[in-house]
Amino acid sequence: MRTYRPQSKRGLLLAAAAFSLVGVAVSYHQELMGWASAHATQPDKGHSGFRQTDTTFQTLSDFINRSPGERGETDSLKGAFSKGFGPLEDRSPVIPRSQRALGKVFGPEPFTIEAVQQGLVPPITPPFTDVGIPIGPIPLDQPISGSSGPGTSANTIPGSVILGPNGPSSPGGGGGEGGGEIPSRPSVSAVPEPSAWALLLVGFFGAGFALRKAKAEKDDPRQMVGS
Amino acid sequence: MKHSLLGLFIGLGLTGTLFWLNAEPEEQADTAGIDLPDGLQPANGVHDESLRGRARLSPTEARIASQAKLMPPGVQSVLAIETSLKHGQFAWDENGAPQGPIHIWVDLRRQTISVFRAGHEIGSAVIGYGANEKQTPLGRFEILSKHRHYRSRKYGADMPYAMFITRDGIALHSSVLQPRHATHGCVGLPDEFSRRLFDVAGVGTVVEIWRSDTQSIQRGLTAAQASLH
Repeated sequence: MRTYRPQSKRGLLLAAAAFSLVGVAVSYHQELMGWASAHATQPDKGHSGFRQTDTTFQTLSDFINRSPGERGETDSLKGAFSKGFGPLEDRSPVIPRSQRALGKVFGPEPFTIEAVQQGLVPPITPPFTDVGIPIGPIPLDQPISGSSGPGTSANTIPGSVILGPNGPSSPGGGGGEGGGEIPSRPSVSAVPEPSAWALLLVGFFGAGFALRKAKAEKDDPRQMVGS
Repeated sequence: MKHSLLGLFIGLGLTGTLFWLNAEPEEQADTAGIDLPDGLQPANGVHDESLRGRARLSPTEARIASQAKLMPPGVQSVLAIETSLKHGQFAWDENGAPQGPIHIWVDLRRQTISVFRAGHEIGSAVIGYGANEKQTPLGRFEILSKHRHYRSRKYGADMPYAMFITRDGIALHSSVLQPRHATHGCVGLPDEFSRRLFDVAGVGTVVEIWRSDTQSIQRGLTAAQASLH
């Protein structure tokens, strides 16, 4: 079904030939130009800045003079700034690999039975230990929270954990007689103190405020900083 | 027959066009008025093996240079660059330098970096360094880690060929270099230069960053000249 039209085909051929001629000419020209620039002798450029006339030190002089010079004024920095970017003196140049930071380091056990016995360290109220732990000479009748006085027979905190037996005259059951483990760290009260609640609320509002502020800044077109 | 001829012509034409397109950046570099001395490469240039040069450094020169913190001690030869480099330009020539440990030397005052291999300079470039409020730390460092395709989350920017030298984020990396441009503490390098440096340097390679002392150079040269006469 296809019909060949010799006339138009010859035209196409001619066009292609012309195109190729142009292409060859351009490439030849580029080749010539490249050759010329590669073989052209570079004019001797004067050295700026430091000048050393004695040719004995020409190599060093050239080395120094290859610098574009000292930096002048610079444009102001854009982008994020690192927090905690201290003065240079604080940063040691090479950090020995042995000094890799651990995730968490606990010091030596702060409480020992002897220390508690001698009254050096105030005993802590262990909220989640079994009944009848005799620790130290001070009776375990201090309230965790609330207003129950020293005369209370037992302190119960929500969660119905029963603390040790208390009496106003309990000497601690002759401390040191086996029985239980001494907690190694101060334990946290199960019910937050009012001050803790206050801190929590303050932090919560603070975070909310920061978020609101950040959003407002982001939305404000006047605060946009160019990249 | 005619078909093959047509194909040949079109192929030739395409070749020419490709040539033309390829040659475009070179022509732009020429018209920009950047004169390239022997052995110098423009940032986007093609490395020409025929353009190279190396100059021997006398022991006296080496001593003066190392005292002034221009280069590490014991350098025997440097690249022969007889003009001042512009931002984005660099020289790289490993020819004539024996295999050995790489030593990278950055001179903030002269805004240049020099790469030495076994006491012979193999590369040099103009750098960008930290702004006054975010200074590049001085001292002797080692490359701690290498990242070919690094992207900074803090600055939201690509930093190819990043080689970190401190644990607080100071690196040598590819960067756009302009005379008025300062970094946040990193050492910015021309892209092609950083690629070559990335290839030759490894973890543990020594990087020294200093500010060379002009007065020390002057004193050293004066003393050396006095001893000659």
